[in-house]
Amino acid sequence: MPSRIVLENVTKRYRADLRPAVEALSLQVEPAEILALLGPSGCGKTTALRVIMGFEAPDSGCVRIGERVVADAHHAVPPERRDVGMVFQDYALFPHLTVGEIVAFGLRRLCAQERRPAAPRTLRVCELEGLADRYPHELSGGQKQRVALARALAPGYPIVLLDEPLASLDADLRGQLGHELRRLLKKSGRTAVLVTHDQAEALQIADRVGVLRDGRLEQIGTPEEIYHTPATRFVATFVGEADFLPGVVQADGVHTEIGVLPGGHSFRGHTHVDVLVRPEHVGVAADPAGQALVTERRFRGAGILYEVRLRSGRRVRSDQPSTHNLPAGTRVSLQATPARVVAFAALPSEASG
Amino acid sequence: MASSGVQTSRLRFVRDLGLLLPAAALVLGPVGFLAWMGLGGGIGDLVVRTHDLGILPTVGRVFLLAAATTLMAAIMGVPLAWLMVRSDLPGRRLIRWLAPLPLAIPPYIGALVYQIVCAPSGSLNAILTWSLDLPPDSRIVSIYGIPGAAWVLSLFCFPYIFLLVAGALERMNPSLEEAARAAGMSRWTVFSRVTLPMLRPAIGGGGLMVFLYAWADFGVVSLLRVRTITTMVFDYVQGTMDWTIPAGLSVFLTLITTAVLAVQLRFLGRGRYTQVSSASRPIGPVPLGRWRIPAMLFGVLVLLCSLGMPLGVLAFRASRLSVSAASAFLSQQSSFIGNSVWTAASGATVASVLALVIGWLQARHRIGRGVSAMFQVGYAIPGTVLGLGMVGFFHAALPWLYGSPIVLILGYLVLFVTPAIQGTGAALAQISPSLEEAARGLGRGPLATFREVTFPLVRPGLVAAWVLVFMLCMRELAATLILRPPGFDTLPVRIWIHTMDVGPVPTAALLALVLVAIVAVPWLALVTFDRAAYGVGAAQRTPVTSSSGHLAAESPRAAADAQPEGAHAVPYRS
Repeated sequence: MPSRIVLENVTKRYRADLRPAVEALSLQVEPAEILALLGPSGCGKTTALRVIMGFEAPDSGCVRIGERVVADAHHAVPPERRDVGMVFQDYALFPHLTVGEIVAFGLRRLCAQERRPAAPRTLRVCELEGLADRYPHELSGGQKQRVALARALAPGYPIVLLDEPLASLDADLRGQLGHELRRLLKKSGRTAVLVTHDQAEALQIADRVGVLRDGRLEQIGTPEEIYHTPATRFVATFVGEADFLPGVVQADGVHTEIGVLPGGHSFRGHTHVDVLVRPEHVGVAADPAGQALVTERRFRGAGILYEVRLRSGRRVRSDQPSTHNLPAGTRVSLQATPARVVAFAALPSEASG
Repeated sequence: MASSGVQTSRLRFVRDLGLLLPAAALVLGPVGFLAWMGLGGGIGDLVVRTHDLGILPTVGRVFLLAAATTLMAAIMGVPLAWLMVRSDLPGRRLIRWLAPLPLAIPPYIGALVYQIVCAPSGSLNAILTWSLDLPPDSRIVSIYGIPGAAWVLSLFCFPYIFLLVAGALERMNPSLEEAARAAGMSRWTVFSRVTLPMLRPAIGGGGLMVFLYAWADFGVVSLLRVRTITTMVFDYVQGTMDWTIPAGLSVFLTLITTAVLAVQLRFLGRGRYTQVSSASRPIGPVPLGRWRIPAMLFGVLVLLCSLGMPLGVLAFRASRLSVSAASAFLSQQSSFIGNSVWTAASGATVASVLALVIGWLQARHRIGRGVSAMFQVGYAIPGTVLGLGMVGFFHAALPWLYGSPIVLILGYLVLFVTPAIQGTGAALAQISPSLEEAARGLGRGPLATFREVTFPLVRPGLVAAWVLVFMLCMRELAATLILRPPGFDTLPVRIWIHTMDVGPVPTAALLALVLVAIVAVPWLALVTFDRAAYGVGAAQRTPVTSSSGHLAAESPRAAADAQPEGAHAVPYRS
């Protein structure tokens, strides 16, 4: 039942005098996969979603759903004939209908026999039993989100698109509902594309994450790939916390101020590179002879984030368990233990770090 | 919505043009005709001729009248609103109910009532002469002239100020006043330094609405024998076939109205500081203490003069007729009542449908603004002027249409489509485009989406707009007097002619009662329905502007832009 979604070189610009909202975007979503499009606001992720849905027509390129071309530069299948369900950021629940009627709204095309059990079944899948007679304004935020999902799932469309599905929820609900959303999507077995600006949400819910910047795809891969082996500096800083340390590639690894890190083999010897260091990969130990100084200590409950100034004046952050307590001003020595060393060619100017 | 491209943009252009051209013809045609007629002989000629007519003293007189009306309306409306929203005055809920109701009484009917009350041999003069022990035939109070006209106009216009100020007071974030109190200000300082400045847009907006109403009024000033520009125009239309002077006067009147509107736009453009707090805590009422009794007397007096007494006097006057005489008279007048009802209903229907289309285009495509701006011009033109312009224009351009009631309905359309657009526009603006997109995604085409989602959501706003325009058409006098085909009288026209010819006789009072009933009943039904709906929470799922909000913002001519921010987007809920 689930279909593949393919975008080939899709470009969409809203005004001729502006840069395209989406530029030469190509990606493929496998059947039953959950893909998250992640990026800051204005990066084109919502436009990409609206192009797949059919609310916007691409200026060039082509969109395929299953085997069918739904949009190219010449024609576009209108949204009502694409068989794609969508969950809107504001949920867009019809205020004049009850939950039962909202969920059944997309069932008109089914024959009566299929229609009757479809709505209750979806309500059950989305754990909304007992709410069928409520109006949207009588629901909590989490319930609204599930109704919106149920409405998108009910017609049995092979594809569901979700536009910032958790953005209008309280922060403490978000983590919990993100997990629940993944579970419901997996249970329904649909192909899903999710748009979000929240990296935690994307990493948690999606099978694969595509990071967009200024309308272009920077990297696409599993959450682990995105986090551990970011392809660009932008991806490294947008997903997770990142510091960069300058180093030189040698035979035994990258020589940096805090030691020799294994890796950098893709670069030629003696190349100047910047190495990605994530706070959880930097160990600090009190050391009166150490060359580094704790300049700031941020207690975060589960952990403490230290900001450490190196001899060169560069700053590196270190995430430590909250029991590991060092006051600001402590002299420390550092040890970096990155899982995989990711190095980027040094920027022309010395502005990095 | 779905696809763009050359083809759709061309379609859009055709659609825009298709909307814009008829609108332009309807609005600019009459105005252009008047300008052409008035200025045809050159400006110098017009200046000389109007100067001979005493135009300058007349303008001064009208200005004085409008200013006095506004001042008196503010004196009635602002305190009453504050007392209702903020004080512990007993009967506040009753004020909430009653204070908007004078809007249902056309001011010219108020003039009729006060003609009865203040007649030389009327009850007020009788009481005064008796209590002051003067000779029985001495006239102490006269309603004729500027003070009387200002008194009558302000009594029936003050709810505009009342509603806007009450709405602003209710939306005001109580934290602001609490912060001022916390900063050590006394209650009075808080009112004058915090509350009053925050109310300035509402008072200014309401005040300008009243000012423009009085400025353009014809009914009251003609009955109370104040010579204004509108009565001058009307006299000329009646008397001669010379177009130059009435047309010139009309252009003059329109220019000044437009200037006032422009000032108003600037004034309100700067004054956008209404604080909208969605879930504000209710603020504790201010105890009135020893001011309680005077405050109550004030409220009772205002409501008595604007509501209780007019209805009572009309009923009493009409009761002079025997039942058989009354029914014979009414059956004789029934064709005029019928005329009124069907033209008003047609006008309201055409205006609502057009408003729905324009409102939708405006809300979804950011176009149709040109059309809407065009009709706002129509809304700003005094009825007398529009009537005159349309007569001339249709006589010249579409002679086969001239002389049929269709011209009257078109006149109502031009005059009142703006409040309808605002009503439906406010309702449409609250319908998120994603609701329509959701329906599209669930297999509905554009038409089905409109039928199943947009229309059900906008329906309450549309009904409210219809009722509002129906009321406005029912009571319209100035334009109708000029536009009506020969022999085609409406209820207001009959009342006016009757009163002008023979004075406030019982039959005129009876007709006035019928008119008030026809105007008030649908409105009361709407308000009641609205409130009932709020009670069961149904209105929350159909977010529309409440009818009183419409009235507050949109009834008088040229109120188009009068409301401060949110006056219709955030409806005044009573």
